Amino acid sequence: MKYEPVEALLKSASQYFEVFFIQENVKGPIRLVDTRIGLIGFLILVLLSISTFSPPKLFFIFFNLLLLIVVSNIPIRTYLKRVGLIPLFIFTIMLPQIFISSFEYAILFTFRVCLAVSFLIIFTLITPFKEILTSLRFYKIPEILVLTLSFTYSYTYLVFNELYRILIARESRRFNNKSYRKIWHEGGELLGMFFIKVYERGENIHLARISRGYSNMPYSVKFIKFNLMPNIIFISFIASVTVGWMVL
Amino acid sequence: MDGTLNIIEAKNIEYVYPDKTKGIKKFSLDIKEYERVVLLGSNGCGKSTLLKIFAGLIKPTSGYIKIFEKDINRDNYLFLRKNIGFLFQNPDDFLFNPTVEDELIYTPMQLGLSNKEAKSLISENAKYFGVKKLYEKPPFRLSGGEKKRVALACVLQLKPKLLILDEPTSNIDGKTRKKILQFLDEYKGTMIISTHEIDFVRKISNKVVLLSPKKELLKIGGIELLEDTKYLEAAEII
Ligand SMILES: Nc1ncnc2c1ncn2[C@@H]1O[C@H](COP(=O)(O)OP(=O)(O)OP(=O)(O)O)[C@@H](O)[C@H]1O
Ligand SMILES: [Mg+2]
Repeated sequence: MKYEPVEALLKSASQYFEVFFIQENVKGPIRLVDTRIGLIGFLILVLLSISTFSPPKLFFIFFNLLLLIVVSNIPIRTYLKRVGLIPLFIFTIMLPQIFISSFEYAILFTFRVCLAVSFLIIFTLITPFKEILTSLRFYKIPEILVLTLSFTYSYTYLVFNELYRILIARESRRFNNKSYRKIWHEGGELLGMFFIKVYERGENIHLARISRGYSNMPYSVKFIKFNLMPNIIFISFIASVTVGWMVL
Repeated sequence: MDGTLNIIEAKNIEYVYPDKTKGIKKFSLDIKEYERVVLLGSNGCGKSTLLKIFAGLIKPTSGYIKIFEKDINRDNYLFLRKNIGFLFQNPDDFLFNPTVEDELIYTPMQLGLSNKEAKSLISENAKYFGVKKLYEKPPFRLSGGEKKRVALACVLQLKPKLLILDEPTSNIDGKTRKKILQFLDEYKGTMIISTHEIDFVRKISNKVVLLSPKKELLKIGGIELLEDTKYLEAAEII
């Protein structure tokens, strides 16, 4: 079959994104840190990563990233699976920069973005999404932004779940050896169908939400009981990374 | 007023879908409190459409409808949502949370319970329907029947005053079917169900509504209507 590789890629990609947010949270000691403090801490780490091009500083951050992964109990494989092809992707975008600036620049740029993304990934891996939303509300982030984020979250799975089903359904009824013209034509139809289906399913799900008491009122989630020690340790960790970053 | 509450009053309601397909034509029905109504009819005769209207989820394009003697509007919204439990025919439309546990606590939390209260409320029913072992799984990774069970547990656990179930037993294994039967047997409120299983109807209902393939009301009657082959054939059920 001619278009199998493309479809296989699409299929695994849709499976990957379908559960991007929806995965069991890793339970580790770092979960004892209050989500509101964690959010700020991780934001600082992200900022530190993207505000420098100095290799020593970046390696220092990288070292601390590894430390964090170990402390969080996150299996390296889970982390790598999450980070996935992001480095390759960013580097591809940066390719022209090799000629415009330098090879080193492209590498460093990719490196720092990967660091930043890694911190976000770790944070989402250890924190239930609902708690992140509640923390954002705690910091008085405009409700419309929080809502948008929460909708994106629930509809990401919907979109990719639908794509995956369509691909499977087609595979189950496909015949071999079609002309490229036909494949092209079918691909267009598939895409159109896909959007209509996602839209209508979204509509149905909206009705289901309503039938189950959905209101625009955000409900708050209780945070884990506040533990002083882990929070102090975490804050000192962030502080020392910041100081180290400035000294280097 | 004779003391019993009118749960549904529908007069000449019609529903036309955006693509101009008629969902249901000129339909009238009254349902009183504690009645157990079953909608029977062939595929595409408008059962699901009607049930969505009765749940107050879509408004008829024309005609008159009151639910719990109330209009369907913003003011009554919360009241209706608290008192009506609705099961979608397709569980994929019904389930939209990241995990089964989130699914189960969704409505209780929307209704203002705390996380802890919600969790203790759902626990018993989750066991009853055998979905407790699925707690951590995302709903879209479940089997067809498991999805249905989770959806049922979501709706039934709240024991709403009006229970609307769109084909609750399709895709369901024998043991779970028995549990649903038992649950509905013990359930004391008003019930509207659509199904293709006549045996099931005999056990749980006391009012039968037949729809014709032309998407119109064919006949309303008691359970003895199920023995009237003339009507059943006209409804294309047998
Ligand atoms: N979203 C929609 N857009 C357009 N037409 C629709 C839509 N949903 C249903 N219909 C049409 O409305 C009519 C009634 O559909 P409905 O889903 O109510 O049937 P049903 O009695 O529940 O059938 P089944 O026993 O197969 O579940 C059918 O002719 C159907 O094609
Ligand atoms: Mg139906």
